[in-house]
This record gives sequence, C-alpha cells and structure tokens, in this order.
Amino acid sequence: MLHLYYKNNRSLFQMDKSYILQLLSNITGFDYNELTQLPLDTPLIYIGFKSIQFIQFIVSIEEEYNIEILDSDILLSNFETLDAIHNTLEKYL
Amino acid sequence: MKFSNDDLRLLRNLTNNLQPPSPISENLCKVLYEHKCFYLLSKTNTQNKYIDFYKKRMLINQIHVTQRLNTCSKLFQDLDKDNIPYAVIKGATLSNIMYGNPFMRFSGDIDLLVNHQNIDYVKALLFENGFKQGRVTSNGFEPFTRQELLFQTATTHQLAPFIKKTNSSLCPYVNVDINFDIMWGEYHNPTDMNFILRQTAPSKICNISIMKLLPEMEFIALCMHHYKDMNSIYLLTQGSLKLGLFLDIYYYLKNVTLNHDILIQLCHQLNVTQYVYYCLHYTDMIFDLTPFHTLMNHLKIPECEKLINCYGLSDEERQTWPICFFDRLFEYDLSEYLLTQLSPELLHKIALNRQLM
Repeated sequence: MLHLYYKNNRSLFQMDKSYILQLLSNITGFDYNELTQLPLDTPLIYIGFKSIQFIQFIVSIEEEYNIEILDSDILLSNFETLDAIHNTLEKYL
Repeated sequence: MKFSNDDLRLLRNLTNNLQPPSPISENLCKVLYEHKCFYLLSKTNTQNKYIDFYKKRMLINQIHVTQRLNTCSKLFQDLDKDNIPYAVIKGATLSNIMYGNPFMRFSGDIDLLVNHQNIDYVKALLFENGFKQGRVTSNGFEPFTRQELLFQTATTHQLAPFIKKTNSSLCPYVNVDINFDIMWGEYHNPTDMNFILRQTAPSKICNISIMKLLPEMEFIALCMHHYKDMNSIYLLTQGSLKLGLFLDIYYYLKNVTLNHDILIQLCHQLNVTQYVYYCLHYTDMIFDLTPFHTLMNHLKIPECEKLINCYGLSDEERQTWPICFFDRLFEYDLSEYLLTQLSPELLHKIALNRQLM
C-alpha cells in the first residue's frame, strides 16, 4: 500500500562522493577541498549544516537522483555526518 | 487591557461556581473571548456582544467537530484494523474530558499521535482515505511544495497538514495533523513513543470510536503542548500566550481524577517534570491550585527554577522575561517586544517559520 518512492531506475550506486561533497560545499559555503579532508564521522553542524541547509540538501539530492526520501528518514541525525548520509541514502539504491 | 485584582477575584469565583458579587463587565467578557476561555463565558449570566460571538462560534464549532470526526471515522477504523498504535489528542477529546462538552475548545483540525516508525504507513493510509498535504487558500486547495513538506517534518514533530474535501458547505475541508512526539522540534531527545502509545484506551466521542491517551499521560501531553505555546519564541510572536491555556490545565485537574503517584512517576520517566511543574506554577498563580500543592511539591525539582520567568524552548534560546507574568499575559504586545529583543539568528528562524509553515 505504500506509495512507490523510487521514481526511476537510476541507481544511487552512481552517486559519487564528490557530488555530495560539492553539494555540501555549495550549500554551506565551506571550502570543497577542506571538506574532502574531513573524517567521515565529523558532525556536519560544524560546517554550518543546519536545518535549512539540510532541507536544501535533500531537495537537491531528490532532484538529482529523482528519488523521494521517506518522511521517516527526514531526521537531522540521519544526515549529521558523511557516514550517516551514506547509510541513509544507501537504501534508496 | 489592565487586569485588576478584582478581575482576578471574579475569574476565581467563576471557576469555583460562586455567584460573582457584581455582573461580569463587557471588558472582562472581551478578555475571556480573546483568551479563548469559552467555558467561563458559558458560566456567566451576562448578555453582551462577546457572549453572542462565543455562542455563534460554539454552533459553528459543533458542526466542524462533528464533520471532522465523521470524515476520519474510517481512518480510525483502518488504523485499528492494521494494528497501528495511535491516539487522538488535543481538540474535542480534551474539551470533552475537561469541560464535559466536546465543542468548548475551538481547534481547526484533528490531531493524531503516532509512532515515528509508522509515519510512512500512516501517511499512505491518509492518502488512501482521500487526504492530500496542502493548505486551503481563497482559491481552494493548494499543495505544499517539497521544501515546505520537508521543513515541517524536519523542524517540528508533525508532518505537514493533511486536508480532505468534504461535501459539507459549512465545513468544506477537514484538516488532520500527524504528530510523532509529544515534545517540540527544538527538543532533540526523542520520546519513547512505544511507551507513550501503550498508555491508551478505546473511547467514543460524538459516537465515533477512537483511541485516546490514559488520563495521566493525556495530562502530560496537554502540559507539553501548552508549555510550547507559552514558551516558543515563534508562537509567542503569533500571540500564543493566552489565559485559555491555564484554564485547560485548571479544569483538567479539577474534573479528571489523576493518580498522582503515576503522574509523578511518568513525569520522571519521560524527563518532563520541570515542564509540567511550570504549567502548574502559573496556573496556580491565576486560578489557585491549593488542593494540588502537595503534588506540586513532589514535582518541584531543581531544574524547575531555570524555567520560571523565562521563555524559549531550548537552553540556547532561553531568556529571562523583564515583564511580570500578569503584564505579559494581559497587557503587553509580546510580538512587538520580542521582535526588538531577539538575535538576528532567532529573527531569521521566525521569518523561516512564517515563510514555510
């Protein structure tokens, strides 16, 4: 009965790390090169990734990969580190 | 309006079913109307335009509440059938238990409390039952943008509102809010909703079967909701601090038998004791909760002190009021005051809320 949230066949497997980092850099204004040096478990709040940036990030990811993130996944904790972002988006493969 | 000691005495007489020594003035009726104290207006023998306003609104509210419950009846059955734990909270269910009348509190929607892990399922169930997420404008139904949907889910403990068109010309749209926590968006420790939703029991309202919270948990949920209205910077700028909030708490205590031991234990377990105490503290200042002072003493923990005479929902936001309680309740335009006091970051937060909520 749940609606189909996976809108096309394009796999998130194709989602490259550099796209995510570039997107985070664009949204937060944090330097891309410095971002690539961050450990994967660094809380992204330190680079200015707060609620409004979080929403911009999800909208951009959804548009780029033509997916719709479930409401149950719309939690800051699911996107608080690069690791968490990867784990959350992985299931939309 | 200046609220005098005589006004306070009149209020207390009304709540204690004592005949007021003098007729309730039109000015006091205006205050009661503007502060959503409709139950107190129903207890006055006065006739003036505010009594007429409230009576008309009661009639409209009766039509709306009945339409909403009937429209959601199948949804409640589906939730039961699919074993999805839920509770109908706020609005008519509270009005029924506090004031003995489901139409005495005016609200624009039906609020459901569900577990966060079930929100995708409940959302799909609402779509199946003909609801859509959006707002009603002068042009009719307008769907939310993806950004608006995400903003509400990410920054509050509610999904963006669900709307269903009805065949009634008097209540053409029914609005359902899905809540997935009893706390507020700024509160970052998720509540154990499995535990909360085990504290429910079947009930009936306007002949519609529903699940509702057990009294002690319902009282805590009421206090959490009202604490938010009393302290949210955004809501305060929208005029949320109303006498009616304290009236609800007073009448819940007066008309519902609560097991105080269970209430105290639940408050500690959910780590909400200080917020419940805050609500009781100010209700006591207005309506006199002497019979509940023992309960209040049991609830008074050191954390209570840092909330009294403050506003803001988080430690980072919290500020001390420079205005005394009765003045901020009755006299000051808090919106005007707050907008001159807040940091640029908080003003930005308010602007976002206004834009996207």
